[in-house]
Amino acid sequence: MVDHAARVLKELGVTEVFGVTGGSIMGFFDALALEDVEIYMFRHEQGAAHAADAYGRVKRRPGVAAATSGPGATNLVTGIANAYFDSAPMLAITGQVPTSVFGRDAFQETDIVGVTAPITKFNYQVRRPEEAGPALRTAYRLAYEGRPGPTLVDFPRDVQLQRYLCEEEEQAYLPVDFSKYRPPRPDPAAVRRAARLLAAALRPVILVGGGVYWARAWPEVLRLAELLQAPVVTTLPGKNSVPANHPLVMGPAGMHGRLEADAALANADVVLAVGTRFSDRTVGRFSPEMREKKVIHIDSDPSEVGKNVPPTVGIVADAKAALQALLRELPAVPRRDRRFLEWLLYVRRRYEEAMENWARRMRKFAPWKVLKTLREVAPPDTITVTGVGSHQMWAEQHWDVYVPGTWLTSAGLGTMGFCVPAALGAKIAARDRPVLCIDGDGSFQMTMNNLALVRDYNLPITIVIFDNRALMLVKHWQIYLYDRRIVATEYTSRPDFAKIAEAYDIEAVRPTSLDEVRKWADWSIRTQEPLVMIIDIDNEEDLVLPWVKPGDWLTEAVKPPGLEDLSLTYSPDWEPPRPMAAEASTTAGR
Amino acid sequence: MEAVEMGVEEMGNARGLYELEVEAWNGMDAVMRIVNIARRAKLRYTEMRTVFEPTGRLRLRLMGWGEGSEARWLAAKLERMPEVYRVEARLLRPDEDAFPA
Repeated sequence: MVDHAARVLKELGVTEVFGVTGGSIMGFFDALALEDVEIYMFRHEQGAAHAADAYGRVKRRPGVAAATSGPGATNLVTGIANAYFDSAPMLAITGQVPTSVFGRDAFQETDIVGVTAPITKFNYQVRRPEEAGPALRTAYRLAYEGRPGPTLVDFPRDVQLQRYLCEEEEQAYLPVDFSKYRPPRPDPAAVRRAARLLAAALRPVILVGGGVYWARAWPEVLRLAELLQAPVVTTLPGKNSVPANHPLVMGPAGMHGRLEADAALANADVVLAVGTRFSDRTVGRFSPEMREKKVIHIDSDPSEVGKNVPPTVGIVADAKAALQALLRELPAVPRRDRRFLEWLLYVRRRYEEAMENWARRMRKFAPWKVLKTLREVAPPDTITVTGVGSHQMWAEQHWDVYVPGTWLTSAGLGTMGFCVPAALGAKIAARDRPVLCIDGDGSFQMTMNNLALVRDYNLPITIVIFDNRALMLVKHWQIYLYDRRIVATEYTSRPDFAKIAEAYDIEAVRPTSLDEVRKWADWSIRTQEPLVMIIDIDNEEDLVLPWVKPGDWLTEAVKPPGLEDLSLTYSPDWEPPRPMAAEASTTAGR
Repeated sequence: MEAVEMGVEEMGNARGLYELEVEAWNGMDAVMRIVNIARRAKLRYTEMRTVFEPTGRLRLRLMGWGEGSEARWLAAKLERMPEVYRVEARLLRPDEDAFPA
């Protein structure tokens, strides 16, 4: 049967599989090799799953991860959950013990279908050889149809080894009604109601989530923003959906959002939310403030509309189709008072000035200055991947995404260890483009064993480790919320990351200035040589601000030093300070 | 029991006893996946019954106390499952004093 399964994958266009082999999957790996599918030998199955997730996000078709039964399969679980919470298309294929010993606690038996039920869009255990083809085609298609997500197919070893010639034409799919994943056309009445709300809004704001990327709807978002003169704010995954250098894009809002984005969302009277599930990380808290706003919620998944915030108007539709319909309904909007936008740009300017001043006082590198330096060097289409931790939050605030689809992060699950394997998966998906992995020392240590693939498969990625020797986001909470009791968040100076890199035959550097950061990043990207760059960060100073405490509202953000006088609550009576008024209404990007 | 028979769209957020009927395929694996989602809804369940038909289809009936928004969330989540052909949710007995899970 495995020969047939490998052929089906090949027919589906699968050319690469990421995984770790083992007793219950080796027959399938053998069949993949016979079909010339390239197998990338990850050093841990979690890495293979993250790579498949990232590959899927870049290619916009499922990445495939394969592992053996028992620990091989359970090691995939974190990666599968990560793909689930970030709606990324991936297919996991697991070996399983023979059906004859099911439930007998056989060696390396785990009910992986049961384990992954809550974190897969679909999973299926193949009990007969003739099910393998339909199961694979179904799982592959479901991974990208409608809202993307991970799927899993489990192959018991005895079924794998049964002879199956597939002489008759087999059914293509399992009995799934795929049509329900095609979003309905936007309801014209709902679109009209939404258009009326937007036309009458005093301070409309567009909140963009990751769904805008999947719907390729960023041109419509920007046209609508320009028509309405509405600021655009994003979620963390929504950074991937709109170019940060558009003058109306304020950046990400939320717990570690940018001040001008938090201010925009907090002071909106009408929020047009597109392709987002209204995470608590984005809005701080749902009530009372969020529920007092008029919310138009567009999502292709009907179970998301009204899940966290009851919308005034809910539109279940493809984001692109819904926005096009809205644009048709909004032929002419009276030009609004630009005061609100001017105020947001004032907030931005104060914020940037405060960060510059803060950077001058830092004993070691200011993380955001490193990011801005890297951004100057990296070409616009560089794929940027992050780990999870303070470096990720700094990147959320200060890394500008110029090309939609070039920002990969673990947003929903918040998986430390995502960066290195996801960067490898992204590089496999786009070998012609630079891939930059912005990681933290804690996150890096969770999956650094996968560095072995860099030389094994010639995957020259640029890794920048923000090395504060701490689990800094937790330490941050300990400082603010636990009376500075620092428990289990500070590391020693071991291991030496330069030696780790050297062990994998990768150049490592410890820059001492931003000029050196620029020089080495440029060298790595230009020459396509892998690099590990270790950035020394002080773990007493590395507090990611602004920060909205859990349960607080966006205007209550703890601001960076020097902004104590800056209110995030908009007043219609606000007057621009004199020097700014003289510059008219400049809307230049950051 | 006198059923109100209110559809999922009309039931608003009324508190009471809800019934969900699910038609699906894939046997016990589907039941497991349905239950996995149902246990995350804030409903206090009173009954669950499944009939496996010779055609390979199954019919699962769930009853539980709670708010309309929870029943609606659960119905929407179940409807998204590839194994599920049909979901019907209805309010059987409004009861503002009922408490959810």
